Amino acid sequence: MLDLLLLLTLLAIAIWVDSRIQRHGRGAIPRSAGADLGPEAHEYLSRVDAGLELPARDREEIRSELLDHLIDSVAAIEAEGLDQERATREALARLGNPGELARAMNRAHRSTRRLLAGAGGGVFEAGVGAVVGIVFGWILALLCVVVAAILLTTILRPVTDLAAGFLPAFDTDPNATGANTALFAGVCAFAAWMAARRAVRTSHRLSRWSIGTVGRWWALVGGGGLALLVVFVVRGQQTWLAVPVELLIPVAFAFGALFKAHKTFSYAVPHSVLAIGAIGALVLPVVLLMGTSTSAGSYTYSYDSTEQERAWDSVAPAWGQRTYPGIVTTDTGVMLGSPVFDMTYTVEDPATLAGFHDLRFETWRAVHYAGAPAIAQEAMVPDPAYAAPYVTQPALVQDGRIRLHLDLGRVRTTSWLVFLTGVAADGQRYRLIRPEHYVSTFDGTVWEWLTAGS
Amino acid sequence: MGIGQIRGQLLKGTTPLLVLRVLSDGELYGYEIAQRVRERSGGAFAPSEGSLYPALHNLEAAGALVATWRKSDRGPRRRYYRLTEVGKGMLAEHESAWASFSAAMKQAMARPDRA
Repeated sequence: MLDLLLLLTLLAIAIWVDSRIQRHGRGAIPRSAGADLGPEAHEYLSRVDAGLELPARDREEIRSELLDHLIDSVAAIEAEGLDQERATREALARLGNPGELARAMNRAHRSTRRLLAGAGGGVFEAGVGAVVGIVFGWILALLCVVVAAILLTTILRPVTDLAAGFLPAFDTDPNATGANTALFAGVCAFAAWMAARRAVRTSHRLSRWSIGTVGRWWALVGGGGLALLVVFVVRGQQTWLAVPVELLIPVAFAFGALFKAHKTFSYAVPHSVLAIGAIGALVLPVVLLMGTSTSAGSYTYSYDSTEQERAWDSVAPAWGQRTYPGIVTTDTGVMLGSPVFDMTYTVEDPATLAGFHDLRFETWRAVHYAGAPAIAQEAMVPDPAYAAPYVTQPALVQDGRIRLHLDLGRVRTTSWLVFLTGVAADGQRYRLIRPEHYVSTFDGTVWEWLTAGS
Repeated sequence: MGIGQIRGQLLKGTTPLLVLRVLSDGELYGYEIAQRVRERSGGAFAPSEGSLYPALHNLEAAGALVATWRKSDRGPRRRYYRLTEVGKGMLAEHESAWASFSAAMKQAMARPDRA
């Protein structure tokens, strides 16, 4: 939820900053020039201007040039004996239909050379915008995180405490790496928004194509290209938190381009479509996050030793009144944040395993539970949504050691509980070691994540 | 079709050539260009002022002309156009093409000698 608020804040700030930048540099030509020409001439010039689909600077220059022409033309006609009103009318008639003149000027300003310059300049400016956006985005993100942290722990504390009982828990991923990916993706989405706006502005200025057309092309090509890149090419640590934010990058680019085009000329996309799209893009991550918090509601009850024991016993009851035989865990290169784990267990007292057969490692999906029993590590318990372990592996005792090589492959789940079990003489399977909590990450593309098993 | 329309059709496409030719004499601004064309043709060719500016901007976009803004004593800034090397080459090509075209037209339009 915090990252969503952060993204919204960043977008709002970006729009405000850009609007401030846009206000600069307008109105270069004094309106007092040609004031003695009369309203008819200025009306004509305004109609030409309305038909121009060119950058503001070009439009101002055309207006200035035509104004200069009209001043000369009217003066020359007046010298022939006509009064100013008729002279102005005659001068305007010689210039022809303002709409046709504007269309001819639009065509005249477009050339292959300028189109290529517009495309190249736009790509360059998009790169600059992306760099500026990332730097600026990180600064803003850090500021927002600090401010949010201060507010949430001070003034807003009573509100968040009150709301905690009603809001769904989004704590589906205790791994901080996923949050970092989401934060970076959020910054990238902000940078994409900035890049798109700069690209559209520069392409429009250099190519002289209408900003609406340029905006739509950038939205289609840039947004589409980024979507392909984000979904199929860029590899990273994927989580349910990060993926929606990553998908926001091409969406932010496309909307940045369309908004830039739409603000100056009011024909690109209706406001309602933009508003619905923007809201949809921002609500989507929340919906997806809520959809993934399947097990969050299962652990809202208060700690109850009986229920807790039942949860554990549904996996495998502890052997010997929750004491474990003499087996010591030796860390031999456990890689946190990797789907592959290696662990060696040293059997200090082999006699303790003599009464067990069918030894095996069981790997269970784990979920966070604040009231977890003391035998678990890091307040994690097996996810009750699953009745069976994700994977089981036979455990062989060799030279007083049991080696575990666990490759979780590409699976979205990130938290695991692994423990050794064995069947005792009474036919019951018991836990033989203290459960180990592992955190894995999913390294791959968004597409691989979306198509992976849960 | 009236004589004015016929003249308009004939003039169509010649505006860039006339503009380039006039500007080969030196730097001029829009209104001056229109006047100079009219004067040089003895009033026979007067490019439509509405088509003059698109032609100027088109030639500028093609790199044939370069425009410079200068202050004017009687109103807004004034835009002066100057021929570039590309423009000079373009003028030579246009002149050559026009010479062969007009010669061919003259020959085609000549009345056969009935004698």
